Amino acid sequence: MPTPPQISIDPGSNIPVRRQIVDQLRTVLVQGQLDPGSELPSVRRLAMDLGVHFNTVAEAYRLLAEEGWLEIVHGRTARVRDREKPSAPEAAAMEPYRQRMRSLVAEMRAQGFGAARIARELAAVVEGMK
Amino acid sequence: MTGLQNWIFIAVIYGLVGGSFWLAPAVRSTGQYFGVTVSEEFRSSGEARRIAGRFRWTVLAWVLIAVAIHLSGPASARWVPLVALVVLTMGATYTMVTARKAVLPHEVTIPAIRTASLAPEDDHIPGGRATIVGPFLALGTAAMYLNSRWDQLPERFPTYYLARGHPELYEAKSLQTVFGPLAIGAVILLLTMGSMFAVWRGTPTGPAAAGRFRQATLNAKAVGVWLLTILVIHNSLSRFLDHPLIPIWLMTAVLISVALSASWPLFRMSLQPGGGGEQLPASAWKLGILYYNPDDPAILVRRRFTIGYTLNFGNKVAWAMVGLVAALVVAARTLQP
Repeated sequence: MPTPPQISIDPGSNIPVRRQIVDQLRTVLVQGQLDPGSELPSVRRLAMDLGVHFNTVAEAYRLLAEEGWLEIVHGRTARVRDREKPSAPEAAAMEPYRQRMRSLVAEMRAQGFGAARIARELAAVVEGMK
Repeated sequence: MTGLQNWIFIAVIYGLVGGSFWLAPAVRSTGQYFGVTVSEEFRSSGEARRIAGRFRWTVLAWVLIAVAIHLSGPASARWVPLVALVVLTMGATYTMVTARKAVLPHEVTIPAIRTASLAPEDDHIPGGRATIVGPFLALGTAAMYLNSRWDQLPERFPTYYLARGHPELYEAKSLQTVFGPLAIGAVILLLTMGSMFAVWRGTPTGPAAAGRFRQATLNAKAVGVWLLTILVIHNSLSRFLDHPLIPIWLMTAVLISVALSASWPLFRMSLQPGGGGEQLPASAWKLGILYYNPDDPAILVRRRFTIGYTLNFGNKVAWAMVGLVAALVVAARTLQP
């Protein structure tokens, strides 16, 4: 039986907890680790396991529902939706992502990672989400 | 209390309290030593052993002081064991706080990263509805049985037995004396079930090892609920017979062996290193024993010191539970004839 996907949060991080939850859940969903129709843990259970306020998890689920990834049933249960692939956005929409990638690559370069290695890592990440 | 009962009380009560403190330095599952996160190197160092040794000898001294208070007080005074128990608990807790201060310089910081599975929930009370409804149905049936035989119940019957099974105290038949033990049993059952629900609904499932500890706790509590039910019904019905329904020695042996086998996995898991425990922010632990974290929805969290769970005093439900227990104790004291 395959191990169910997990998410982790670091309450000491500068990144807000809600953002950490949304980012990791989105990654799990983009990678297809959860099939459409599968149920996520309830808000109460996920909040309890992560040690965060119920509202934080509820808000994270709501944001992902707005993005079309989840369907909230009776305000409590979240189910994975069969999300249609959106049409390719215009070139201008890439700019904010480009800036974030630039910052990330600069940070990695500052840590001493070589350009070729960074390129390989980025390619592997993209490949994993196809 | 007779001499034998007195010594059984001393051995069981002071032995259990003192023993749980004595065992504390051996609890390894949550990676803490006297409520402080330490490295395995420090834990096996000579200094750590010295701190534990000093702690254990002092706890033993507190146990002896408690026994001395118990034996020196008037035999008929009910407050004597209570005072002895308070002295033991306060003294051992103070000793623990002192040991913790000695360990604090060796604290290591680990990130409080929390992980959660996205698997669908499959979390049930052991035994399901039978564990929740069954005991009350059994108590109700016992009450109906007594009610149907009201006329045949003796006008006076024993309400207190000596350890060897001989009745010592007799009382007249009344609603309170006939149904009282069942009603008190129902309240104690409610409290026990409340603590089981608090673990079920109010604790993180945590990493795999912590999840197993949680499940073992739920199993032990479910077994406790059934044992309590059997004990209450047995005691309520036995009073109307010449002798206890089941010999007291057999009942005691069965209860102790079932309770021990249900709690043994908890001891085993707690004494194993890496037995799991969710990473909780160190700043939320006050004096190393009291957990106060209003941001954490957990009602109970794994203790950093000794075995089991402790309340999250930052949670209103936890305070409501404390208030409920206090109210029931006060009500029981007030209503006592």
